Parts: sequence; C-alpha cells; structure tokens
Amino acid sequence: MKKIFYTLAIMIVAATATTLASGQTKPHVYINPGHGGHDSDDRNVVIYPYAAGDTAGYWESNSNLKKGFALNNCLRAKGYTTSMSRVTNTTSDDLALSTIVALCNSSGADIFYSIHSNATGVPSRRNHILGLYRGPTGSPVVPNSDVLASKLAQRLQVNQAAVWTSNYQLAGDFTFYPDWNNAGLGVLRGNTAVSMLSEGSFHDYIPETYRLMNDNYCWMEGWNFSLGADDYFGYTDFGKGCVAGNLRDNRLPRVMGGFIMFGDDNREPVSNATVVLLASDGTTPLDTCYTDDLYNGIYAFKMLDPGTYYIKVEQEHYYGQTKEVTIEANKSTYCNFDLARVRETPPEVINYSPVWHTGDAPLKANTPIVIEFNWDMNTEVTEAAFHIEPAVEGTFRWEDSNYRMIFEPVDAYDVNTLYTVTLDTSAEHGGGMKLQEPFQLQFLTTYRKYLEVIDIFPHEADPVHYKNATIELRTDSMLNNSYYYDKIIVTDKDGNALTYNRRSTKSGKAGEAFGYIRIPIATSMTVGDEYTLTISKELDDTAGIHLPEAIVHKFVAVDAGEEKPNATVIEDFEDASTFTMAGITDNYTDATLSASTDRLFGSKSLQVKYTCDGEGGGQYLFTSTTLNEATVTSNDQLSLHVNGDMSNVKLLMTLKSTDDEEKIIDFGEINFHGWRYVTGTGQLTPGKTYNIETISIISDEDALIKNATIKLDNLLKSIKSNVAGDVNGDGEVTGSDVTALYNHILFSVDTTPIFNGDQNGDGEITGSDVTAVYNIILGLSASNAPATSRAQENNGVKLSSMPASDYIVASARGYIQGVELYDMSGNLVSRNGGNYVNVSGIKAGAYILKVYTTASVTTHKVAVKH
Amino acid sequence: MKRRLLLLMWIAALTVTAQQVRVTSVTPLLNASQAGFYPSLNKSGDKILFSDADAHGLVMLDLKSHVATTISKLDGAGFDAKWSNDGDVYYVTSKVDPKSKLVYRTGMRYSTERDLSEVVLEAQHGAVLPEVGSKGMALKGTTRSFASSNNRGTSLYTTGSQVIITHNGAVHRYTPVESYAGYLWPSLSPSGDKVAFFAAGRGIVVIDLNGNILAELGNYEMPSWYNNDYLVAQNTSDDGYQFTSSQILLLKADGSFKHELTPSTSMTMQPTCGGGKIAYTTIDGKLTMITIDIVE
Repeated sequence: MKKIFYTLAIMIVAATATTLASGQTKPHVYINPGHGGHDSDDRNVVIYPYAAGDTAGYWESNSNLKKGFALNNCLRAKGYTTSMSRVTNTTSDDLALSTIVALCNSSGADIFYSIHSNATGVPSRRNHILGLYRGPTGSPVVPNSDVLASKLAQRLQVNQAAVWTSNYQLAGDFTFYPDWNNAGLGVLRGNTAVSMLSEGSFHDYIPETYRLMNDNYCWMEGWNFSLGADDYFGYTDFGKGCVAGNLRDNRLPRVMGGFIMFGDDNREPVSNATVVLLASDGTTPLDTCYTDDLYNGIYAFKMLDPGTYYIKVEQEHYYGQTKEVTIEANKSTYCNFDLARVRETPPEVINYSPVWHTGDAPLKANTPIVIEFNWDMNTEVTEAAFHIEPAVEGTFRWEDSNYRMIFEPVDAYDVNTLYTVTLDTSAEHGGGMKLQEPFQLQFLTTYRKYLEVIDIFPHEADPVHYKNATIELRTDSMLNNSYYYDKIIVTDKDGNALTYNRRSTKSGKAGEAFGYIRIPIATSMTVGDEYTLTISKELDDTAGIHLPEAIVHKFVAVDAGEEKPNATVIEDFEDASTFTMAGITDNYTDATLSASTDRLFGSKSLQVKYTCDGEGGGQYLFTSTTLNEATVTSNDQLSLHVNGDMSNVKLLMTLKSTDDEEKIIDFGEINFHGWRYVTGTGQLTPGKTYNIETISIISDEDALIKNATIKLDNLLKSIKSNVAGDVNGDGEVTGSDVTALYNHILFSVDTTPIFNGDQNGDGEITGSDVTAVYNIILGLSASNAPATSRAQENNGVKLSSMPASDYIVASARGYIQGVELYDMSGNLVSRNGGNYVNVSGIKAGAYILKVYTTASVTTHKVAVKH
Repeated sequence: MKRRLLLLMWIAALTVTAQQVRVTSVTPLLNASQAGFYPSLNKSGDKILFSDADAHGLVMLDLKSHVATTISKLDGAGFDAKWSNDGDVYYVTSKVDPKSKLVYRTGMRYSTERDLSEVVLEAQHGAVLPEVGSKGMALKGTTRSFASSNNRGTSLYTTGSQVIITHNGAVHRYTPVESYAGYLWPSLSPSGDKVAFFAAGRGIVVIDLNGNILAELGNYEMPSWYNNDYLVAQNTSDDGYQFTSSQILLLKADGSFKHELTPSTSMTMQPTCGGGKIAYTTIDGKLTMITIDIVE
C-alpha cells in the first residue's frame, strides 16, 4: 500500500510537470510537509466520529502532507523544480531536523517551505496565520526570508472559507521565541535557502480541524503556497485561477457544539451538497464537486481559465442558490454560500418542563423552564414572546440549534410561589411563520433556596501540609457530581490552578445524611506560599440549588515534618505491635491499631481506625509500653504529628504522676486533612513527674464521619517556659540552662544530667562548648541528596536523568518556551530559551527547574552532581 | 581542570561496562565564551574547521599552535566544508540574487599554504556538491563544475537517492537502498574500499565500491570514519521543533557493535574524525575533541 501511494505521488508529479516560460531559470522549491507518522508528536486532534489515535482522523502529519502534495503539483504545473522531504506518512518519515536542513541545502533549493499548522496548547482558541523565518524580526539570517514569509501570508490570508480571528503574523524565530537564546527552529537552523516555516492555521480550533480534514481545503492552501512563491519570484504568467468556498446554513447554529467557535463558524456547515460549476451562459455544467460529511461545507474548483462562471448549489433540505463568480489568473477566488432551510409548517411546542399540576409537589426554587419546538426558532422574537408572572429576572439560552429554549432565574424564584409562564403567538421560527396558539404552563416553588455549607477544609488561614493535600467541602445535601472541578479551584500565589487527582476524588452518595466532596491535590505545594481555595457560587446540589455566595479561603502550605531543633522524640510510632487498645465505648466498633507507610518520619506511622456505629458521643483509648516509659514535667511541651481525616473528634492524652494525679493534654480537634503538627495544651503540677498513660479519641455528639482513620507520627517533647532560654524552668537564664538544653536535645533527659555541658573538657561551660555541641546537633541531620540517577516526569514534562552533570534536557508534547534554574533560596541561577540548561559550570547541589511550555509552567526539583 | 578530569572519569566509567572502548582524553577546543559548529577535522587531526550556528563564515583552528584563521565570512561557507587530500579546504558560499531572487552558489578553495581563498567555480544557480577523492577534489555544479585534477582517485558524492562513486576512472551510480528524500554525508573509509552514507528514513549504510551493501548501522546521522573498522555518528531526537536529545556513537562498520561515546543528555552532535581523534560540538557550540582506545 505504501509503495502504491509513493508511486502514485510520483506519477501525479510527472503528469503535471510543464515548464516555465522559455528563457527563465527554474526556481527550485524544497517542500517540507512537517514530520511524518502517527505518533505521539504528530498532533492528533480527536474529533467526532474518530477515536483517539485513529489514523483516519485528524493528524497534523496528514493535512501537512496533503498540502505538500498540492503545492508540489501546482509548482510542477507552473514549471518549478521541486523536492519533498516525504511523500508517505510513516514513522520512518520522521526525519531528524538536521537531516531536513542538509537535504534542502544539498538539493540546491532557492526557497524552503516548512508546512505546518498551529495549536494553542491551552483552553483558549484562535485561528490565524503565523509565518516564521530565522533571525530577529526584520533581519532574517538568510536575506529575503522575511519577504517570502510576507508574500505567502498575504496569499493565505485571502482564504475566506476559513474564519480568521486576526490578521496574519510574521516574525523572526529569534524574536518570536525570545527565551530560546537564538537557537531558533531546527528546520531553519543552518538552512542556506531562503526559508520559512508556515503555521497556516490552528488545527486545535475545531471548525478549522474539520476544514483541514477536507482534501479541497488542503489543496487550496497548497495552491496559495504556490502563489506565494510566484509573488516572491515575480511570476505572473501561469494563467489559471481557482475558486473555493464554504456552504453554511443562513441562521441555524452549529448542531455539534461543545467547542469554541468564532464568526460564521457558529452556523451549521452544509454537508453532502452538490456544487456545480456552470459556464458563463449560466446553464452549461463544466464540473461538479460535493461537500463531504465532515462538518466543513468546503468545495473547490481548480485550475480554471480566467472568466465569468456560475456556481450552483443544491442540497435536499435547503433552497438552491446560484452565484456568479469571476475567476482571475494567478488568484484564489472565494465564494461562500449562506443557504436557507426549507421550513414548510408553523412552529409548535412539542415538549416542555416543568410539567406541574395543582396538588403536585412544589418544585425547587431554581427550576429551569424548558420549551422545545418542532423547528429552529427566531430566538430574538421568541424571547420577546415569553412572559412569567410574578416577574423574575432570568436569562435565556438556546440549545439544539435553537430548537430548545431554556429560561433560568438569575438567582432563584421566590419560595412558596405559584408562577405562570406564557408564550404568546408572536413567537416565530427561522422561516418567519408564527406560533398558532399561545402556550402556557404553571408551577409552585418549594421552601428551600440555597445550598448550606456544614464544614470546609482548609479553613481560612489554615496551615496545610504541602504534600498529598486534600480539600473537602460538606453541605446539607448531596452535591451535583457534574462539573464540580470547574467550581472548586485551588490557585497558587500567581493565580495558577493546581491540578487534582480526580481518580481519587470521593463524594457523597444518594441516601447519605449530608453531601461532601473530598479532592486530593495532585501536585506538591511550595512551603511558605499562600494558596487560595475558591468555591464558585454556582456549585449546586442534585436539586440544582446553589450556594448563596462564593467562598474564598486563603491558606498557607507548610511542612508538617519540619525539623524541630529543640525537641526530642519520645515516641516514634514505628512499631504498631507495641500499641494496644485500652478502652472503647459501645458505639465505637471495628477499632484497629496498625502500621501505615503513610508517614512523616522513619518508615511507619501508627494508623488508628474505627467505626462509629451509633448515636451520641464516644471514645477510643489506646496505649503502649514505650509510651508509658516517657516522662513529662510541667516544663515540657508535648507536640504530635497527626494525619487527620476531618472527623472532628478530639485527640487527648492522659498523663499520670508518680502520686497518681491524672492530667489531660488536649491536642485539639481533628478538623483537617493531611499531616499537621499539633501542640498539646494542659497544665501539669510543677515539681511532679508524669508518665503518659493513654491516647484517646473522643467525640461529644453524633459523628458525621462514621469510618475514621487517623495516623500518628513522632511525639515530641520540648522545653516550655515563659522566659526565653529558661530551659530548666527556674525563672532565670543561666549556665545550667545550657546544660539542660544539651541534655534535652542530645540525651532526651531533663532531671539527671548525663552531660554537664563541658563538651571540650576544659572544666567550664563556655562559648566553645556551645560551638562543639551545635556541630554535634547539626551532624544529626540526614542528607536528602538523591541516591540514584533517574529520569523525572511532572505534568507531562519529562526531564533527563538526575543528577545531571552537563545538561538538563526537558521534553514535552508542546512547545517548550524556556527553562529557568533556581537555587533553593529562590535565586535565578541560569535561564535558557529552548528546552535545556547547561549545568556543567554550576555548583553541585539541589536546584529548582521551571519549565515553561505554551500550556503550563511546571516546577521540578533537580540535582546537579559533578 | 578538575571538571575535565571528572568528565574523563565519568566517560571512562561508562566505557568500562562495554570493555572494548576507553576514552583517553577530553579536550575543549574553544574558550567558554566561544561557540563552534559544523566541525571538520583534517586527515592528520591537527587542524579543525568550524563555523557559526548558521554556517555563516568558516574558521580554521590549528590544534598545535592554537592559532585561529578566518577563511571566509560569507554565508553558507561552514555548512559542508571539505578538506582535500593536499590539505586545502573547499567550501561553497551562497547568495540570493537581488533581481531574480534565486540562490547562487560559488565554489571556493582555501590554500593553507598561501593562506588565501579564491573562487574556483563562479556563482551559479542550483546545487554545488563537493566530490571528495583520494587524490583530488571536485565541486559538482548544476551547470558547471570544477575539478582539482582529472584523476581524483576514488571519489564520491551523493545526489538525490544516488551515491556516485568514481573508481579506476569509471563512474558508477548506485541506489543500494530506497530513500525518497535522498542520500547525504558520503565518506570513504581510510583504506579506500568502503563507503558510508546516510539514506533519509533508513539510516547509515556501508557499501563496497561496487555498491553492494555491507552493513546497515541504524538510523543515525553524519557518519564519519574513525578508522577502517569504526565510524562515529550522531544520534538525535526532537519534538519537531527543537532537539530533545543528542549523542555521539561509535559504530563498527560491519554493524556488530555500537557504543555510546557520550550520553543522550549530553546534547553532543556533528561528529568528525581525523588522525585518530574525534571532535564534536554541543547544541550551544562547545567544540570538544576526544581520543579513544578500542580494545578488541
């Protein structure tokens, strides 16, 4: 099959080859129809009816090749010499950039066209022409490359079958990619021909995607490329012209929606139409073509002699139309048709909602009113024919190509109110016929108006552990599961939305007492940065009742496992087997104590699970022998690392003195998700030494969360004093405080000193001892340098192996606009356009690499090692 | 110095695993602020040609005296400059004719003895391709050509999908493998009995002087003979716009052995060999020379 295609391409080229006017030297055009193949870098845009990866669907490699063939044949017909870098579309046609340049140079080409189409890579869409040449804008490396780009862009811009969002743009690639350090586009670098790369349109603008599926549309672009070459070389004697255009319904909105459309692209393209080219007498048919069924409405007649023609369009559901066109030599003529549908009966209401009768249950307070017609309606006139009593402010929208009208109140209807809707007989369809009888409906509204928030995390100003963070919203009714990701957004300090781990999202199910959604954040946050949780007012429940107003909470990313220099670990929770249940109330069941690998320190944390199976409050107590051995005095501050589940239970610790006095240390409510460093509150009696008896989880009322899971990691003890530096709690700061501090940090003892502070053994405690012990303490910190070389990937951006010694190279599916390397203090170390940074002269260590693509900015922790 | 030593150690560590190739030296050829592209070592490996990223101009660097000589400041001079057997340099410059807008290419010769560049083939439209011979040099133009002598020994060049070999006075045109886009980068082995070239979409092909395929070495670019048995080549990948990886490979001419002289993340490219040395550049123009030992 590949060989047949190849042979056919050569035959077409040979059959159409003629010569330029005698005496003229044939210019040589090198045609590079982009990269070949149907691989991940060949820009597949998924459009109906094709599945992702279907080679018959849209691929930039397909449309580029169609344009390349058309250009090749047009140029040959005009007498040019041509070369093409590929005539098939396989992975082996994916020639390297340096190969394409070398092929062009060795061919002796005068000009080089690299044929591409563009993509925004972001949700917004546009459609315009971009011509790029090597060098700064206005100063091409190869002279005249800017002239070539300009000539071509002018020829492409006349295409009126497309919808352009702006005029063409021309730029040198050094200027267009300012961060690439003049690296420029690979196919232009070292190219000695007058050369340019054309991004002819945007293939991710879906109406354009459908047009690029049409052979005639691609052919016209190839023809326009040949006209650009003619203009550049000053050739005007070919003597043929072409006509093309777009067939659209004159008023019907595009039936297939869900994507961004501009201008006339909002109207339905007319598929399967017969387009006949008639001679100047208006009757003699010369040629016939057909619009395809791929939602583009494109037709074209090629290589016509100059003169007057008529174009007749016929389609069974439309009134036929004929237009006169004048074809000029060396020119593209565009002749679009706006066709009127055949509508032979008056409009009728064929369906509506709400359907409510007296005695029926009242309706929710924001029920939309939907009226469906047998024809597409004149929207302006029909909206004017719509009345509602009592009056309520609302908005109209139309669906199904104006067959369905929807009225929605801006906020909500009044509660407990009977509404009457009337559509009078001035309503009319697209053909101008009016409604024969007025239409009316009624409904009664219910008492409930807004969705109520029960709880939310993060709360305003909450500290949130930077890793594996989770947000949660609880409401008085079950949330509408559709589209809530667009209504619940977490943004960083620069306003960039964080991505969610959608597959791990949990939400309420029908029948539950309240509604909730729990969304894990996929990316780690930057410690110290402020983030914002924004919940849109439009977030609604399954009844469509929304919030009364938007919710905005600001919170700070923290490292809950941050080292606490003056604290000692008195329980690391590494060995779950040492923990046992010490008591539980009847309504707490299925309690387990187990090890979890979700931890902040060491290799394990202690996981505490239970089910709250009944009404009222309850408690669950547990303990361990190692925990019991820890001693605490009134000078000690206890702190704990807790991974919460927002179960809103209290976490307490019971301590008992040697004379059996019981005291409670309160670690607060588990009203958060993820790891948090919590400090206990509670007063111990001075002079007494306490042991920790139990840890308890207590609730005072009905539990909202029935199945709770909490994890505990390092319990810390530090020195508590109202006087700064008063480590031993005697009310003053002296040398004995230094001794106490050393022992506290190094040996975890507070009463009988193991070490008196004379680290250097000179018989006294001085500044040199402080230095010596300080070094010991610092020496206890573990290095976190990466141990092995490995490639990194984040958000679709891949990095070369780490640690790096020469280059860090990033790759992504879209353009990489540049990279920046920062040290851990946030100072910019190196910036480079393109996709790599040279680290050979940079000091070894950990750095942050920012990779800028057209779609996103990703941040990566990287290591440099020499 | 420390960095160079570490790089050497790193490369040595890499090569130990193959147990056949050992890098014995790594030498940067330019200062950190300088950049060089399209390098070409002479036969004895004591001089190297290079250009800028756009092949604009041509510089010759004497690796013994470290004296750099500007051979040309013209467009295109650096793209495919060739050393002839007598030590002269042949190169092709290009210029757009302001009236016809056609590109005209001029054949140039630089005499290393006389330190002088001269036109040997007047400007003409179309391709001008260097034909490198064991005893002479030619520049093949579309309408006119230049030859340094009538007998250029065994000589070769590629055009379209043909490799043209002149041997014992007879001209042979071979198309040993299918390649629509064409052949590039032909070179004759030091022993003069094998030819390596690149076929677009196919990779490096080694043939004998009768056009018989001896080996296909893989889809790598810019083959350059290291000795009679080994070649070096470039292995790149890109995203359609920019390079995403690039490295230098050592390939055995019979296809039985491949070795990574530099890692794919090194962004090293455009290899050249001469006098038992290998030179290459990086994406940002860090011109480097290495020497290797191959233990069979």
